[in-house]
Amino acid sequence: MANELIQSILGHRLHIDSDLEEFSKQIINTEGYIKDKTFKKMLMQTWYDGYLLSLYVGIKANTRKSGSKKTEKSNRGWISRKKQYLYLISLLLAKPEVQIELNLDSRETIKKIADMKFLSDSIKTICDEYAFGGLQFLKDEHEKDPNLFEDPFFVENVKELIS
Amino acid sequence: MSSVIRHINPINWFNYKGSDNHIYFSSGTNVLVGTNNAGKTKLHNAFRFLLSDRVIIKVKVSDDKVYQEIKADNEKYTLEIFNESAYSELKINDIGSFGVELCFTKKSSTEEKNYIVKKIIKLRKISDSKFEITENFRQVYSVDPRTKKPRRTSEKVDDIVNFLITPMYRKFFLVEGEQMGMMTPLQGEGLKTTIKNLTSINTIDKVVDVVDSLQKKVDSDIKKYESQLDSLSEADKLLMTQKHAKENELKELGELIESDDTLRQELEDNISNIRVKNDESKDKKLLLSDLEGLLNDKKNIEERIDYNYRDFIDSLTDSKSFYISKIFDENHVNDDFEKIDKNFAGFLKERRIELEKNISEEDQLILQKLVKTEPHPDILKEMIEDHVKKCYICKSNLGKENVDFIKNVLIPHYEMSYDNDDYELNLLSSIKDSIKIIFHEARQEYSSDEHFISEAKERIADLTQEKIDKQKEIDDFIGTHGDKDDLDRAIDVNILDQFASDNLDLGKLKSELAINNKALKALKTEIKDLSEKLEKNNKSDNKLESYNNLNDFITDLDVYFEKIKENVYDDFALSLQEKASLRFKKLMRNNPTTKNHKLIVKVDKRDIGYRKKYSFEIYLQNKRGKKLTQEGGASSTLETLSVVFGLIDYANKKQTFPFIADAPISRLTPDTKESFFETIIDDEILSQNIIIVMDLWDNKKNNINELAKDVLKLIEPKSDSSFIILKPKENNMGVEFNYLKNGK
Repeated sequence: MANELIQSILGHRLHIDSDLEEFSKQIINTEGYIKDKTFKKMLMQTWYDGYLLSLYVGIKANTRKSGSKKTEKSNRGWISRKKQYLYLISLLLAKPEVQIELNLDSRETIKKIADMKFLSDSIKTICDEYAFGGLQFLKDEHEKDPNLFEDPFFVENVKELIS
Repeated sequence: MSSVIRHINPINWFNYKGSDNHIYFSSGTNVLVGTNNAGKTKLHNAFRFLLSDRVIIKVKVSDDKVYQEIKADNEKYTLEIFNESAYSELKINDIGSFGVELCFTKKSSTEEKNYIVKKIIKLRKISDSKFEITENFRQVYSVDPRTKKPRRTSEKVDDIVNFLITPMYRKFFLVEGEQMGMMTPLQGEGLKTTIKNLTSINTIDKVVDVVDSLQKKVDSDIKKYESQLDSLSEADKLLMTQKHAKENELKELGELIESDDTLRQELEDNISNIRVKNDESKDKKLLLSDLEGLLNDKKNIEERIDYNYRDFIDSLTDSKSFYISKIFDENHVNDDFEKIDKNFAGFLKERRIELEKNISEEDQLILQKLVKTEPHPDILKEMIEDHVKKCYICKSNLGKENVDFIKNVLIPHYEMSYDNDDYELNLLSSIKDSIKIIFHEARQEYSSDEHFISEAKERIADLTQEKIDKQKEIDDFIGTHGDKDDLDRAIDVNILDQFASDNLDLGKLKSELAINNKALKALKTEIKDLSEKLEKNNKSDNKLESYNNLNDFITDLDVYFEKIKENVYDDFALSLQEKASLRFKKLMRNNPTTKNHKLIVKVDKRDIGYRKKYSFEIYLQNKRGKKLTQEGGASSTLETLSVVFGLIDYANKKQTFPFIADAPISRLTPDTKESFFETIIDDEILSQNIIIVMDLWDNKKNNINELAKDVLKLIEPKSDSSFIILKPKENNMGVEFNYLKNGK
């Protein structure tokens, strides 16, 4: 059963906030292979990388965005980025409010978890909300400073913003 | 015999207005200094006009103005020479005149005679821009030693000026600094002519020509005689036919070699003419390749910077480096995990107690600490089998107490976890294990790495500095040598191609010539053998024998004169090289960089047909024996000056002609300028020097400069030397002369 939850998590499909899809192009290379390798601005190579970054920013900045319309970007799951995804989920699970939300705080609430898929889906929902929140945070910051992603070391600036 | 200029009087000559502009010279060194437009070059032109009727002025050719030597009575340029102010003062139909008057002393061992030469062009003014030349007046006057009055003589002007400086030497004694580096009489065919004029080669050539025609005549006579001989046997006739055939072959081959050699000479001239341009283009090509190398280096650095940027961004989510996890220290999450795990352990304990009431309190505690998934109950069963009884984890033997604990507590516990169908227990256990796996997987990434960004930044900063340095190198390079477009424009591809193809053709031609010369020698030997055979067979024919003896004698004569000619050229080259090198060393004595430079006079001898052909080259070589070529440059001017002085030394005609030089030092370095004056002033070969220079004038102070003061110090003790300042009067009204030192 333990493997069941992990397998289910690693099978999560990849979604992006439909409203932020256009903005995502500021940080994600959506054009595929980059012919011109000359650095122009901060670009994550895939939607997965962009999602991981957004999720991290969301967790650290504690920004969540719920009720977003989602666009599916991949159904391949997270096997190839297992370490990165589980790392971010561990950060989420460490949050007491997330434990409560996932009904993991008491024997009584745990009983509400119907099965591992239910728990996995809840984790996916929370991940998406934090990732979309993180992306929204980046969008807001980008509006304040349009050159934010021109600096490849922008994570350092983001770190200052979220510390 | 020698000549010394006493004074010159330019009349309405460029900016010299009026008929009284006498400039008096000492018999030694005369230094004339002046600002721009003071009339220095115009004064030099006055000497030129007097000697050759010509002046050098800037004339319009296409869209450019270039210096050209023109005849002074060329009406197209008359108004450029005639003083503008004097011409404007002429009324319509007035007769005006311009020209030069010069007084010099002709000295011989027995007497001194003073001459005045006048060359005046008279014209009638028609309008401000129109005129007609009415008279080209030329007259020689001799000065009466007693009354000092000039008297017309019947001597011809040309004869007298030829005595002043003979035409052959004019190019060496009347020199113009700007053109000095490229003096044609010291290059290629011009040099050959110069050498011929200075040596006895012309006479030898004449003798050789006589020998040549004599040889041809004897050859033809022998042929005629041989063909008329009746007494020849059939065998001899055959020999004769063979000999004549060979002679014809020899003649044809000789002609071929001659024409090939002419072609070779043309190619060599072509190569020599375009060598400087080719070398320039080649240098520019090398520079272009250097610049492209620098630009490539910069591009590589930029690519490395980009790679480092990209690498950094990619490393944020890369599973190996995963730098995103290193931004913050997340070790506290371990505690959070411990708490969750502990909670779940508590939940499990509670549930088990609910399910397994018969297990002791102590065993319950142990069970709570174990994860349900491992070990598998089958492994535990194997461990307590009689032949094993060993712990698979710590390898210790199991006692009865241990076996009982495993058998009664652990195995049922694990079997229960697999088999137990209690949903809550299973759910709690699964979630606990899953969370443990998640945290276990993430745990190794919790520690932050504060340096990863700074190190990446440092790497890029180093590369960026490298890029800035490279850019500076590129900028400096472009500042010195021009940019890619400039270099591209300076590369003459046609010249490079032509130079390469000419050299290729020359190489082929040379090897062809070598082969043909070898064949020629072989033919000569064959003909000689045939002649000897014939001679042996016809000893009885006295006339033929005499012919042959005469032929041998002429051949010996030819070889003898060829040898004399070769010796003359060799001796001349060696002597000139020695004398010019001494002059060069003297002129360059203050310049350490040229200390080991040598001036080479090279005689190139080649066997062409029957004769040797000679060509000459004068150049500088450095201590490694490398030929230095920089036409028009400072050392080139010095080289020419040294050769001119070397030639004068060679001629060894002390106090022969006045040395009149305009701007001879303009291209020299400051140290060589000084040594030039030291050389000139102390020279024992040159007698009178008239040196016209601008380099001794300080335009800002409107006075002579420091170098001039040094030169003046050198001149002051010399009683036969002068130092004259030329200053233009306002509005083209003439020239003022100020004698700072006025010698005899």
